[in-house]
Amino acid sequence: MRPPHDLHEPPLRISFKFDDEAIEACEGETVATALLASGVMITGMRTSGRTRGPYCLIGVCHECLVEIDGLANQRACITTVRQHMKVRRQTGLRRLTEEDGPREP
Amino acid sequence: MTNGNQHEADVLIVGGGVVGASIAYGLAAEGARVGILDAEDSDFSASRGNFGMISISNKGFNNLAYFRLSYASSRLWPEFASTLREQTGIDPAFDLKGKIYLSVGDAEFAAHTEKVAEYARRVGADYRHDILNQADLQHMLGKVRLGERVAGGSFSPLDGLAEPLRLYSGLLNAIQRHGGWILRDHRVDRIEHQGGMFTAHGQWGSFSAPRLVIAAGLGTPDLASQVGISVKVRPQRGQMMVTERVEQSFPYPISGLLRQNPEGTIMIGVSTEEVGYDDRTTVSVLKSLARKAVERLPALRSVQINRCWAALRPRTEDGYPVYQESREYPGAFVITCHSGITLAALHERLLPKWILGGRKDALLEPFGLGRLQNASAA
Repeated sequence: MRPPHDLHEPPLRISFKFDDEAIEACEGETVATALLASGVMITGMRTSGRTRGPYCLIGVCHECLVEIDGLANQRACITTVRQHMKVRRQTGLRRLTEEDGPREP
Repeated sequence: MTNGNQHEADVLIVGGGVVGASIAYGLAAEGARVGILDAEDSDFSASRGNFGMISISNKGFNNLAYFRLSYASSRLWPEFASTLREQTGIDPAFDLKGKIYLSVGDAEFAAHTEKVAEYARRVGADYRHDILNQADLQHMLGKVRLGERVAGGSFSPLDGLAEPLRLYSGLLNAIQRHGGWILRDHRVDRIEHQGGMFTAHGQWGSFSAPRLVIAAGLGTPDLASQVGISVKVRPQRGQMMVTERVEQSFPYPISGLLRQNPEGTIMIGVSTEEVGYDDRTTVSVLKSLARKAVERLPALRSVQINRCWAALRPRTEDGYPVYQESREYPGAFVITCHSGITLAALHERLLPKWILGGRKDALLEPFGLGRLQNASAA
C-alpha cells in the first residue's frame, strides 16, 4: 500500500467488481473502505449462515474475508484497490489445493 | 480480613488454571464450597496456550502407572465433557477420534514400528495402536496428499482432542454455577496454618479454609514450601501457530504437530525447549515446525499463518504428575502436572474425594513425591 503523499491529487478514480456490481473507488484506499463507502455492509457469510462485514479495519478480526481474483480468505481491509480487480463475497471456507502457491500478504 | 460470607470455603484452590479448575469443579459438584485464588492473566499460563490434545498412546512408555492414569482419564472424558456441556452450554468439543502418527524416512518408521510393538508388550490388551503403510495412511487422510518422504506411520484410537479454551471457560462457568467463587489478580504470597485452618494472604486480603490445594503450575514450588512440601517444577517452552480457515482437510490430528479445528483453522505445533522463563516465539523454531508440517502434508504450503504464540509447560523433575498431601500440615495438597487437558476428567473425578478426606485412589498412589530421590514430602 503506498503512503498517501505518493498519491495523485485529486486521486485517480478506480473501478472494480464486487460480485456483479461495479464499485467506484479512489486510488490508495482499501477494498473494505471502498465497499463501505458504496453502502456495502455485508461482504461474506460464515458456514453457519451468519453474515459478516468489515469490522476492525486493521487486519486483525478477519471479519471482512473476501475472494479477490480467485483467491479466497483475503482481508478486504488491508488490500488496496486495483483497477478491474474482481472481488466476490465469500460464503464458504477456502479450498485447500496444492496449486495455490505461497501468497503475498 | 476481607473474608466475608461470599468468600467462605471448605477448600481453597491456589491456582486457577485448567488443573485447579478441574479439581474445583469436581469439589463443587460434590457439594463442597470452593474458592479459587488466581494470579494475573498475564502470568505464564499453559491453560491459555496449549494444543488441546488428549494423548494416551504415547504416555508412560517407561512408567506403566502413568499410562494407566492417562488411559483412565480418557475413559472418564466422554461423561465429563457431556456433563460440562449440559450444565454450562459450553461445548469443550471433546472427540476421542484417534490420532495419526507419521514417520519421515525409513529409519524413523522402523524405530516407530518397534516402539509401538514394545508399547503393546508392556501395556497389554488396552494398548491399541496399528502400524500403517503409506497407502493405508493416504486412505485415512482422504483427499489431502501425503508427503513423499513419509515412509509410514500408525493410528491409535486411544487418543483424541478438545478445544482447550472452551474447556477452560466451561470449567470456570460450571464452578460458579455450583456456587464456587473465583478471585483473579490475587497472587497468594503467603500461606499460614493455625488451628486447623489454612490462610492464604494476597493482594485482595486473606482467605481461610480447612483444606487448601496448591495447583499453581510454575508458581507451585514457592507455595508448596510454605506447607512443608518440597517440589521442583521447571518451565518447558512450546511454540505453536494457527492458520487461516480452510475447508476440512484431514480428519485426524497428527501427533504433536497438526490438528484442524471445526471452524477450519489448522494448528501447527509444538516445540519442546528448555529456555527458562521465556515465553517468546522465535522465527527459527516456527520455521522448522512449518517445514515439518509441509513435509507431511504439502498442501499446507499455501496456507497463511495468522498467529503464533508460545506457552510454558510446568514440568516436574521426572515429567510425571505430583499428587501429594502435606505430612506436616494435613489438609494441604500439592497437585501439578503438564498434561492438564488429558488428565482433566480424572482430576475432576478422582481428586475431590481424596482432598475431602477420603482414600487416595490407587491410580494416584504411584504419584506421590516419595518417588523422587531429592524430594522430601516433609
